[in-house]
Amino acid sequence: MRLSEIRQLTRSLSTWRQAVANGRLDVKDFSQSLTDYLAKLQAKTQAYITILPENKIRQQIEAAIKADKPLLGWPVSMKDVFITKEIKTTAGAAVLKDYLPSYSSTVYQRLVSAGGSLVAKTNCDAWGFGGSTENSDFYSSKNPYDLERVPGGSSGGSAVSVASGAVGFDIGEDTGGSIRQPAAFCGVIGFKPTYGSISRYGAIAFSSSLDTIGLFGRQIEDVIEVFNLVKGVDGFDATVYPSQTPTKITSSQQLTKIKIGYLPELFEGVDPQIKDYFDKLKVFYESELKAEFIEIKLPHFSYGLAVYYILAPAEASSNLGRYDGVRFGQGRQFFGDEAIRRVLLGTFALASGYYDAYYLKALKVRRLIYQDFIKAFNQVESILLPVTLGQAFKLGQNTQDPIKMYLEDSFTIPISLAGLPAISFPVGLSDQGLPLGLQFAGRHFNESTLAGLVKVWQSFSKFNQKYPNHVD
Amino acid sequence: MVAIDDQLLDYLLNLAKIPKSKLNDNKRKKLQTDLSGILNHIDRLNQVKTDKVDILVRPYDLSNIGHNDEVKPSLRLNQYLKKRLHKGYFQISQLIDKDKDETI
Amino acid sequence: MSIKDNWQAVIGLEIHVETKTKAKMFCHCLASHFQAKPNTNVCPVCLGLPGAMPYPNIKALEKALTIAKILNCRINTVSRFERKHYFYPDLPKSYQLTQYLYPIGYQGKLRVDGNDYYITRVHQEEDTAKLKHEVVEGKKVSLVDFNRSGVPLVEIVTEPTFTTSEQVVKFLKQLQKILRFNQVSDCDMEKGSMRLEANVSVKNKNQTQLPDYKVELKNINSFRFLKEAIDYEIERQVKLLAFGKLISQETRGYNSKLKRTFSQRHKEAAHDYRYLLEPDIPHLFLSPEVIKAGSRFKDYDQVKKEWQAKGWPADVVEVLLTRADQIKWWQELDKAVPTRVAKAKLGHFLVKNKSRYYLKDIGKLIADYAKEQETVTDTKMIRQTIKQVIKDNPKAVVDWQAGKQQVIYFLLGQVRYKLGNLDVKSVIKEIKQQIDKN
Repeated sequence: MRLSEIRQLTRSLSTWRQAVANGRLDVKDFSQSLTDYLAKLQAKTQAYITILPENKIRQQIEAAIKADKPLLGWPVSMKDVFITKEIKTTAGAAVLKDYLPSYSSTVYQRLVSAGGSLVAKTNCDAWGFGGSTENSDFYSSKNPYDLERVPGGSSGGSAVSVASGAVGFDIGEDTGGSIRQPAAFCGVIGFKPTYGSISRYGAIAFSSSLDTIGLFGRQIEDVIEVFNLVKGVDGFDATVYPSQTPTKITSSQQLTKIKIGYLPELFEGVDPQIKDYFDKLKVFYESELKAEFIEIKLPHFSYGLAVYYILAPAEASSNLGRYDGVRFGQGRQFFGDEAIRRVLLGTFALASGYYDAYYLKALKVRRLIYQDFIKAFNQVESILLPVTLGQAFKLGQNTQDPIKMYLEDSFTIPISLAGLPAISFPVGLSDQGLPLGLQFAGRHFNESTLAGLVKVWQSFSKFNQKYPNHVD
Repeated sequence: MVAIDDQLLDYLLNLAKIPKSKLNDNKRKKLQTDLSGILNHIDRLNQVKTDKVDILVRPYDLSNIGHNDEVKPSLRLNQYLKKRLHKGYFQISQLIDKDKDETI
Repeated sequence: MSIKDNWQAVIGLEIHVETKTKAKMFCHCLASHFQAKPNTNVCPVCLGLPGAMPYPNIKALEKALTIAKILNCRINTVSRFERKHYFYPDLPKSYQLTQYLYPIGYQGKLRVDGNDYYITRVHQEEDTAKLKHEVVEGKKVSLVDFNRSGVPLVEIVTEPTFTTSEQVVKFLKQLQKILRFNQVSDCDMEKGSMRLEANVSVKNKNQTQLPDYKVELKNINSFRFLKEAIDYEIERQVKLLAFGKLISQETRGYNSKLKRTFSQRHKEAAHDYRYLLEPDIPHLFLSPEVIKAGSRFKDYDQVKKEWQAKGWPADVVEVLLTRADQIKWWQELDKAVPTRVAKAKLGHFLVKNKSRYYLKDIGKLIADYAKEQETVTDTKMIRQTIKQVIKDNPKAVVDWQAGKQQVIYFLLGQVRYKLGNLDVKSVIKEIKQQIDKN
């Protein structure tokens, strides 16, 4: 099977389903071709930590088709922070380099029940600490649009996997932008739902009050369908919001005259090409949906980074305490540089003498940021804002300067602090041929509006059909 | 503005149980510089008035979540974990017992 | 005039109680694991595996709430869990889930023996794993068993208002009774479902301020040893202070064979626990409705008073007071036994024959009791019994011959004890006849 055929099948769930229904899908051919492609992709981009053997892939597809499961064996990859029973799970960290779990995360279990076929575990910054995947304790991954650039992080490998067309979707985790930013760098959809939508039981914890499980995908309708299959209470994660209902994509009719908020000052520090695309999209939505763009104020937005770099490391330092190498994995002497940085920062913020001035202070400013958004959402139904400062940066560019790396998350972090849903989506290419993205943020549990907005743009721009050149 | 001097760095390393041997002089210096730089940025929070503001631990409101004393089968340890057991116990070379350090 | 007359002990208590639930505090493993093989009663949560998350046991929280209400605490409307960090092999997550800033209950009190003892706080936490120390292949190792990890524990901290070890023991015994009665905990010291720590210091009687130090007495697993330890410790401290010496803040254990306390840890540096409000557990919203529904209990002292007032003797009421869920049975019994005299007699009959009748068919109990009350009229048996009683009690005969009339009633009592109800007049006549024959 040629790559273009593989991509046709992974691009759209309905195409896959049709192929299965018509008997046109030669499962053996597909799994063998996919396995070959995964190896090739890995050699070029190092997107993966574990690739499943061909027979395992084939068996999953066959079983799902036989049992007529909803996803019918559609291939999927997962960020290597998700616990998969008896399949190596590392979180990108040397501490867990050979770890074989004895249970499975809820999200993986639901994926299996829904009939998805796990083909690979993707590379990420160790423990989720990073914005480029260069902090993986194993190797860096590369952007499929330019192999000398980063794919973003921390879920870099996931973005590459979907962008290349190897899988139908990928399950990632977004703490301060870890899905949205790599999605923007790699030209795919990065879907971060409301905090508490999908159970985190079995997701190796980074920052518990921020970690949000989400999806990478090509088409928003597929992303939402899978979202509905994996979200909801499970009796193991107490922060999952009860009584969630299936998300529907709001139609363009219902979106007519929608009020979209924006913050002009945010575009000042950003690559002008991104501002150009914003203007383009503004015109598009004004004409397509008669949308009303309203300037809004989020007075504490710029403090988000400072709040995040107290709270996230504080929670991370707590979550990483268990890695003593006794029951599982190796001990702390195998922590990488970024992990040490974050653990020390977090330890500091919680230490007596500093606790009030840092940790408690951050929790209070967090409330102010949250309140700003709630207020803004009284005026508008969605906010359109940048995801990144520019296109994917070069490998090695920011590795010596952690603060520079942190600044890349300035636009994604405040949304995470408020637990709001956001979707990052491709708006076009830079003049150097690299993807650029923007994000829609919305009210708690209002993913439908965001999905609807993205769908309108998707139908027009056909971004779901664009592929990188370097991984053919 | 807090500077991460040697004393503070050692205190934190000890608290977090990160072996000091991991850090040579260069790494220590870089760590101190990086951490101080981050704390420098964080200092801007002092500009924000928060006297009457409540903390926000989690980004939305839920309460009283739990189960009603339900028992479920325990975990069967897989080979990976079993390999770490010695006659059924996890083993660690002895540290000072926090409670029974007897000196009469 | 002893040294002690100038000094007063200041004692506070820290009590840990394992509450009675089927499941552990934050997962679905069995709470009781008596004699289970090591590491067989575990799951990702209580083992602290990567990716695991806590899921609270509401029943355990209700028991904690009940304890707080029993101790007349104020209840925090918003109560939260926190992570208390320290590294030790018995703590799988490297932190213990507990409550620090927002405990379930605070500022309570319990009246015991006419004294009010104040409670600082009542909060929920989880137990640690069990550690064993052995030598394996020539090396000293610690062996860890996580079966106990995550079992619900309630911590009760009292104000330092005890001044004697007697007060402490009375308080603890009463607390034990009340908690057992309400089936909140078995409070079994041997099985570890009740653990005690006492903070002891000494001050000058005239001093109003509390001493600036305290000595923690730990790892003492009986009321008797605790009393001995406290008494020893008070004396030790008084001696030191009387000679102008300073007392170091430390933890001490008790050696019951040598009957003295000993130092367990010198110069304890204050731990930096880096408390973190637990993001994975939504807060507890303890509204009046929630408190009411979650903390139904019976007031021990009130029940005691009530039942004694009905006419049941104190020792009989003690049996009732072992478990609150037995009250229904007692209420049935109470209806069937109308008079105070009958209650007293039947009560003692019941206590004497507990295993046969307690909580069982009331009709049979009453019938058998009544049978025993029937007057014995078998004269042959009476005569034989009187003969035997006189034979067994030669001193009584001597006393009778010396003119001590009361002896007859003693002998009567002995006969009744053997035979039950008798026609007193005729039996006395018979006794006199037989004893005179001697």
